[in-house]
Amino acid sequence: MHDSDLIRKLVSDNPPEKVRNLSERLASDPSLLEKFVDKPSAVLKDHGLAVSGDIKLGDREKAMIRMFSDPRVIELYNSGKIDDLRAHITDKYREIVITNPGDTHAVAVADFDVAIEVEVVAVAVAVAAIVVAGAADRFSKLATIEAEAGILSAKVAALEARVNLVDKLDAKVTRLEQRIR
Amino acid sequence: MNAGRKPTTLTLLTSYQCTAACENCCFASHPGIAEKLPLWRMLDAIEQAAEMPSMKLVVFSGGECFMLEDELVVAVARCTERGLASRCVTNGYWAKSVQAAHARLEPLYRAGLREINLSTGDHHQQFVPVERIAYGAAAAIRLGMNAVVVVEREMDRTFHAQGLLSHPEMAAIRDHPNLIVFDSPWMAMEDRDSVRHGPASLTNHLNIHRRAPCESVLDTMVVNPRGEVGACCGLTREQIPEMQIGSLQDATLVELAEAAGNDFLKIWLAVEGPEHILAWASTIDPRIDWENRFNHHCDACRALYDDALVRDVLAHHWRERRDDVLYRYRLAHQKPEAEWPDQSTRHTPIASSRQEAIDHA
Ligand code: SF4
Ligand code: SF4
Repeated sequence: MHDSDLIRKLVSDNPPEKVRNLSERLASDPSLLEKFVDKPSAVLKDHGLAVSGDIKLGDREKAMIRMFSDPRVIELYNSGKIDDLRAHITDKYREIVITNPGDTHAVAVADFDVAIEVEVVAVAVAVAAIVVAGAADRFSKLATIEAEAGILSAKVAALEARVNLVDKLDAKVTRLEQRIR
Repeated sequence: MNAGRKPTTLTLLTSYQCTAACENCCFASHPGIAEKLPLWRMLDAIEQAAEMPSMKLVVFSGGECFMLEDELVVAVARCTERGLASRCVTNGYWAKSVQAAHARLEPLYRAGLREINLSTGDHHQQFVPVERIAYGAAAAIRLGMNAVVVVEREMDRTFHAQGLLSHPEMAAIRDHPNLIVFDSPWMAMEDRDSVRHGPASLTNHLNIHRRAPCESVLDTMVVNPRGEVGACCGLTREQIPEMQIGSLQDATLVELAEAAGNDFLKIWLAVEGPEHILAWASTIDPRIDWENRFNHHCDACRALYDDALVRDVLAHHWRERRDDVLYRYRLAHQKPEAEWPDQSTRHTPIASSRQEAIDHA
């Protein structure tokens, strides 16, 4: 499978069964989660999701994956203690906290960088997205963090668009090469 | 930055290229224009806008911004990530069916786009059939977006909003709260006689009380495909050199907004609007001909900046109005420190070290 197709599958509303299974296992098995954070390509491969290249997760992606699988985060969210949740995230997951200039609160956002140098990075981001998708399912109502959810959705849309741009560029290069030959 | 009106909107004229070539298009757009705003420049402008606390909205326009395809999705997403709302202005050429329209809008919706503005009318329909406006609006509404349809208005037009609303696709959504359809005057860009308006719609001393201040000047910053920045999103802005306030190559949006905010005439336009300034100028020099000429306030504004008689009155008599205008501006906003812009300094580029590209697309 081409990596860009994989990304689309991973981030779609209706992910394939293999992705759903992985997402659920990541959410329920902390040791698998840690292995995934360390060696995402290997874990994906074990679950039948082969990717080309070796995926490297940045500190932010790692923190985000851990955050969405942290039982305390889920508990605080579900009990509606949003201020405590913010404090917990700010305290434990500094890598993913940015300060919103219009707001005195620190706001946690899944701020992956959409600027993709190589597709491997794109896959890493998508991998983070599946974990988020798994967590989002468990969060009964996302309303109070919908801004963060909107940002995540925007990032995924931008990511897909970036991949399309890369695909188009690839096709252009191939056409040019054929003409030169 | 001085106190006063602060920009709330950044408009990116992504390219002057368009699938259409409407007569009297304000940018003379057509399919053969290649120049476009590079993605990195758009993203940089969005990042800069996000750093301005007053900025709320980024409008993607052109030309035809949907010709950017995936780049548009990336740029809209960046707005969402930075907490800015976004809007796309389009002729709807891409909405060949409801399904095709959905396919184009869905990634934009996920990227955070919540409003499209579709333009139509006699001129547009020479290039884009009205069905596409209906399909585009219907797809947008079904996705949960706002759809605004702007219909050209001129005296001898054959197409009216009613024609759009009677389309079967529109019939299903015509009462939807997210749909707005309204007329907007079409304006002559080069040949004044090429667009006619009914006498009742032209400004004169009997109806001037209905002419409002300019809401766009100092509120909207426009970046054109060359990276040049304008101080309003008026139809005639490109024909008014004083509305070009610099370039992103030389200055940041913050610096350019601050410099423009010190221009007394722009403040005056924000307080009274061009028609009232013209009417006042004509009380000093009765040769100034302003009555029954202008339907659109940007047309009046172009005349204000263009007409040597008006310029002369403004240059010699602006102080007579300064206190009154600034007092009202201060009431509406806060303490401005306005100076009449010296001709020699009005376009002085502002040095800036901000040249690095945010994103190497
Ligand atoms: S569709 Fe709009 S941008 Fe394109 S030519 Fe017509 S008026 Fe100009
Ligand atoms: S009236 Fe003048 S300042 Fe206002 S939008 Fe039109 S051209 Fe710009």
